Amino acid sequence: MATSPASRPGDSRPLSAVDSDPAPDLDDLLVRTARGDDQAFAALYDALGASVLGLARRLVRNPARAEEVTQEVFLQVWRTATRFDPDRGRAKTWVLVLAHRRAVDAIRHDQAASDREDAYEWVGSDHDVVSEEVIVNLEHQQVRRCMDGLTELQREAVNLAYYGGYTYPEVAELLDANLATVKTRMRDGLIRLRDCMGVAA
Amino acid sequence: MTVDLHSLIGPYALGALDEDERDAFESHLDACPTCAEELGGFVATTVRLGEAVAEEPPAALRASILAAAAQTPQERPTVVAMRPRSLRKRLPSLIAAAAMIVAAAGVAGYVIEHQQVQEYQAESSNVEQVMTASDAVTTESQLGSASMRLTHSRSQDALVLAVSGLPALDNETYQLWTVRDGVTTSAGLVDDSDLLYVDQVDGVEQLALTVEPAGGSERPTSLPVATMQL
Ligand SMILES: [Zn+2]
Repeated sequence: MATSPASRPGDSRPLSAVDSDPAPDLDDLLVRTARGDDQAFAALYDALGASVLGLARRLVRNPARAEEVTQEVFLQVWRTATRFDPDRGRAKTWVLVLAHRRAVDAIRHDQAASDREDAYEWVGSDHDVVSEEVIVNLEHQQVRRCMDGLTELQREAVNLAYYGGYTYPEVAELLDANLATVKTRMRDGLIRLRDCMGVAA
Repeated sequence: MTVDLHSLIGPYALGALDEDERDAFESHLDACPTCAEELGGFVATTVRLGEAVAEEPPAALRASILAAAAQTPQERPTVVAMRPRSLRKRLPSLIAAAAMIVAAAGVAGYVIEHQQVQEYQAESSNVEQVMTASDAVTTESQLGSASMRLTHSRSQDALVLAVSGLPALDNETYQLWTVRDGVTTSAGLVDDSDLLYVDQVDGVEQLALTVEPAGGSERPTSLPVATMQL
């Protein structure tokens, strides 16, 4: 990003500033992107690329695959920017929801392919490792603190779903809990996180 | 499906539903102000979770993405044409609803725009009943520039089809057909950006869209330009 032509003062934002209210300029950048403004698109990438890549890496693990997913996400943003309406939502939300979905789709797709390959040699699961690993390394102080405020089951359920890309039945399997419990823990966890982070409901 | 749809809000916000349940929950959202309201805060919360794991991307990725975008055409905006056709007279409020649903189609846009859809849908009880049915299943398909969003409820024995982006025709019309046991029945003429409500669909296996002479035909006179399985 050192060579970024879009790093004008006021345009670029350090990663640590993500907890302040999302800047309306991102919405504006996405609106301009819809009109084919490639400078605006570049600035949007500079603002959100790190979040998209980080999330993709967390989910798909393989760094090269994560970059592929990031590229897919931003190309989809570029192609479909015209669908974004700033009166109804934030650009950042739009992009990150899209990023999560693309990354999860990539995992499920890759998993299906490797399941076919591994059909006869599957020996066990490394799921316990996964749930441990996704908890560490949360950069963001506030998010980590709020995660710490969850019950263990809430935290595991949120982690495995959002950072692990597991469906809730898979989460139930991993946590040895029933489906209804897992659904409830996810919702309760989100309520607690939302309130802890001070996100407007 | 006997799942209580309200209960899927947590898994939905966390991206932990498979496609079928995701579609079912999105149909439910159109009709459930409680979930719609709560979802906004949940999604904003997951955005924080995403940002918390941000990682500086390599410079080469930026260059690669910008270069790829420079060679990728952008989708054109959906223009909502409201032509005075018979369907519009019959279902005036539904056309507005269709426009909203079509605007709402597409991944992340859905989450953001469903609330608007809901307002329009309140005007139309038939459509609402399909969209709110606990067994409503929505599928979306893309055919060139056109997109179709089909919501089907077995319990309501009805479906709602929203169409947009169809190429304009001269002296011809699009016509929708249901196919049941190999028998094709007209389900009405289709304008672009229309929303069609079709009931008594029990046993229908397939929908087909054909191009017919102006005014429509008794039987299809051309091969379908699109088909959708029910
Ligand atoms: Zn609900």
